[in-house]
Amino acid sequence: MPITFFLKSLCVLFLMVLVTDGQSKTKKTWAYDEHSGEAEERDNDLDQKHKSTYEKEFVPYMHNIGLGIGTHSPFLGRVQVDDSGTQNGLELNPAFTLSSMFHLSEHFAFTPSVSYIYSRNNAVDLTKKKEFNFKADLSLILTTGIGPFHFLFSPGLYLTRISGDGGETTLKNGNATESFYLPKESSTAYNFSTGIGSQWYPFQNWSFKSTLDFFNYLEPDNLRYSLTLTLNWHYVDPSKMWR
Amino acid sequence: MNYSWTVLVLTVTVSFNLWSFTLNNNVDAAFDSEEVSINLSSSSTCINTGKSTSQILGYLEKAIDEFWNTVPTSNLRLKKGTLVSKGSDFESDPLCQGGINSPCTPNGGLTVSDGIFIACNDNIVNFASTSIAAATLTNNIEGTAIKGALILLNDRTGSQLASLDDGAFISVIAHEIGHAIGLGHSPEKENLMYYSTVTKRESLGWDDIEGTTYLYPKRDKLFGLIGCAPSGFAERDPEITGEAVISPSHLRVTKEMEKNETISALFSLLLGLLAMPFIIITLQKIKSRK
Repeated sequence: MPITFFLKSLCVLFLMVLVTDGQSKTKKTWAYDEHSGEAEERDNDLDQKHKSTYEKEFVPYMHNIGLGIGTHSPFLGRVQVDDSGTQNGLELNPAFTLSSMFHLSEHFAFTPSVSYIYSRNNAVDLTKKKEFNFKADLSLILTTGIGPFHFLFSPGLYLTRISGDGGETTLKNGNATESFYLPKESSTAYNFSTGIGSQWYPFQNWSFKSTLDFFNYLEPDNLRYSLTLTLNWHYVDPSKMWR
Repeated sequence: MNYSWTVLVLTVTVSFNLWSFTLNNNVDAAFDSEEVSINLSSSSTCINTGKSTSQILGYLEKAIDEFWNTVPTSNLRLKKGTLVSKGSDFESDPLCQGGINSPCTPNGGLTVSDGIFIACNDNIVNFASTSIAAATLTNNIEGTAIKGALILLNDRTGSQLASLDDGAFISVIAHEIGHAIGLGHSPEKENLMYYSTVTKRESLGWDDIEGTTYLYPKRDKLFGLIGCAPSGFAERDPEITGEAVISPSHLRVTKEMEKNETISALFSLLLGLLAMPFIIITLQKIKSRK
């Protein structure tokens, strides 16, 4: 329950800050209208300058396009991995990400992304699992001495597709063996997730991103976490990009 | 239709280098309801299992809550039922006609009409060895929909069920429930659907999770709201709109339909993601003009 409350609060907080972030700029502009005479004209000039600066700086534009590679660890600590009860930890399931970033204001950005996650079990499994992850991150941007740092609120959609080619396999059954059937169709599960994360840009073109996604966040007793870590390369050239 | 009868033994002997969940029938059958009740026979004495019916009901609840209802990518929700009287045949009769053969011909007298039914049984044909813990058969299948499944616990004299601690007993019941919902055995020990008990069972393994996801895929409600409800479903069942009332078995479609469905969903999502910045920019521009 506390985690669910925390996530909901975080969502509300992000939206509130986003709204007030835009309003504070507007109020600043209106303040100049309270003066009169020459001062008013000067201030109106300042207002115009400020306004043009505002428009130049804060009209949203696509800031970069990113390509990422990393690892995805699903349902941390909740899947048994051996016969003595050990639960799963960090895993090496390769994740490939394509993302872009749109500045919404000085301190906020919208960062949609799509990821493909390759399950390492596919190499030795008779059934195939493919995972796609669509995210719509909202970033709170902080400027630090070691490069921009983004805090992420990260809602998303996971598609998990499982398929097989059919057939049979013989396995132990009691004290004998038995033929069991392999799946012959395909099936896709759709899960909405919400998450939090961080993205650090130590260099202009490179970033490290970590995201903790929560599943079943409306069922606190059944909450699950997945961790994704990626290294991203960004194409950044605002002057040549659409704005 | 072919389906396997399945048993769980209480020893560990072999493992394979092949990873995969399997199914216990050749038609990918699954319950056609997202909520399945599991009842226990009230007439079972369960003397030789070493547990009372109220204890077994308690284990059943844990087996549901700690294992099968925990899969985030599955819509299946199992529900602990009550003590139900179905007659003494369930305590004494064989699961299959003419003995245990493969494939099994279900004993019509033990057909379960609805949901999953558990009984303690002392038939020597079902349990040739005291080390066999339990046997399960999905004995009521219509098309690709499981209507009923029967779990029998070994109640023969000397049944090794009696020597199990609470955790192991819970995992035995959970394993049998896995068969009842349509899963076969897994070749790897970390999975609940491994054919034998293991040192310690804490949660499901990947084969268990993927098998449940395959048979009962999750469809979060919001998905229908953003215009991505796959069109293929409406063609299969014109009375159903959206995704809210579609049963899991209807969700598993042919590969061609699955392909179209996935492309449609991905395309819709891509459009949505592309459209969002434009909407935001437009709103910002309107706001800045004001």
